[in-house]
Amino acid sequence: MTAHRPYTLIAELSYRCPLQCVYCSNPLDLRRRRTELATADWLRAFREAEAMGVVQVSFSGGEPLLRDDLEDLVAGAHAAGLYVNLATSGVPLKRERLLSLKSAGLDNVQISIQDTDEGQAEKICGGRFLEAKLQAAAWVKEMGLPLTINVVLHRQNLDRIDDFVALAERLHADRLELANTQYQGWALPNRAWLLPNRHQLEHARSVALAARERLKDRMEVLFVLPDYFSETPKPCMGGWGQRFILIAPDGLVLPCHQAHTLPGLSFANLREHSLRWIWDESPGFVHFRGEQWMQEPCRSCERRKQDFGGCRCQAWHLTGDAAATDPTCHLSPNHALIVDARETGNGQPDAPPVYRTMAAPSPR
Amino acid sequence: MKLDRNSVPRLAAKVRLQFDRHSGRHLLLYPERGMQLEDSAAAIIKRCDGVHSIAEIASHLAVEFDADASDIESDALEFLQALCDRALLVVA
Ligand code: SF4
Ligand code: SF4
Repeated sequence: MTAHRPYTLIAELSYRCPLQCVYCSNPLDLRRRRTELATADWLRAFREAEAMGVVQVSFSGGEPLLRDDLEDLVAGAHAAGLYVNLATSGVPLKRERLLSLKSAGLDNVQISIQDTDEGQAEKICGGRFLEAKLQAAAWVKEMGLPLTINVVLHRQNLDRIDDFVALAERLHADRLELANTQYQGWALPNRAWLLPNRHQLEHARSVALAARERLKDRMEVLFVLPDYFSETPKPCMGGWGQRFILIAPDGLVLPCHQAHTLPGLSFANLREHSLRWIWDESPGFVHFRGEQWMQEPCRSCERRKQDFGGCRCQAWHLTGDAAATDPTCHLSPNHALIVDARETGNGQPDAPPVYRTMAAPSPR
Repeated sequence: MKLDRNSVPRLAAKVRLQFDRHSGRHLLLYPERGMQLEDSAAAIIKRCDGVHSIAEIASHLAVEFDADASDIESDALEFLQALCDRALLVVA
């Protein structure tokens, strides 16, 4: 056991997805990253992860249902003793398949809902999928499986927060995640289109908090503010290489979704190394673990053990220095970048959004 | 939902009780979260089977651990109420 124990494995099984969400956290350039791990690689990863302390695995992507071997992967993770969550769009789900996933040991199903309005949802994900999602959610409950509804919030849907709560109640969801867009991956080029204004956020927050109190013994309601609107950053992934391991579809093992976009860091592939070595010793994991890398103002700040200086990827993409204080922090010398960006939430974006694609990303 | 000594509790569908071989403690696992339990708490949860009431659970534990049943009952009630308020426990 190392000093840092990973608790959760995020298994991104495939970048393939029938949807094209404008805020997808997948990398912008997916062209060279299509070769997916084999079943045996994943099964090995689950056993190694459990031996290192991991207790939960979340199957995500892309769309994990597009893996033909998902039943075997669920069974393997379950046999390793992991709590198995499936994060899906719900779109390719069939009733029979859900039955076999359940008997393979699935513990929870998380379905994403882009909007309660079909036309609005189509603007976000590029297709009309709401009905399929609602059907999938109904099957989940019919089979006695727990259901999480996940909604990514942004300027275009925040005003329908009451509808999201009502929908989750109607579906008898066990957990409702109302998570504001984080400006990573595809959300960054689409930021002007997605950033809300403070008034919208405050309204949504009060609705969410009221729902949380009213529904507390039935449904867990989670509301995540965008860090652009908080004074101090979130402890991104609970600290770099502290609690989470993410394995990308091609086997790259990462501390977070965007870590491979940082310059000068090398990350190892599951095909070539043991998961334990990658976690304990690979240069990419070691680099930003702990506090050695910090600059001022983080280095001497008393919050550094709580937020770990924020998100490294956000620091890199916005300031050009991956070791800088996350600019969402009010103490960051680059905080004006965030203050200025927030202003865009008050105006109208001048360009349509860019949709996620497996082809070359369109330049903006 | 307010629990009393006659409530018959069981874990919510999304919650799993699991022994953690790394820490030697029991964990409650549920979506995106985990909670490490004291041994006394784990002993209570293990008996939340949807059949026995909180009063019955407490009297079993009192015999097993040679302790005062009413103390155990009030501790159990408080602990289980907190779980219920977080949608981790339901009553049968
Ligand atoms: S955010 Fe949308 S496009 Fe990206 S993986 Fe999820 S459902 Fe697919
Ligand atoms: S200065 Fe660094 S450690 Fe302090 S609150 Fe800001 S990001 Fe966190």
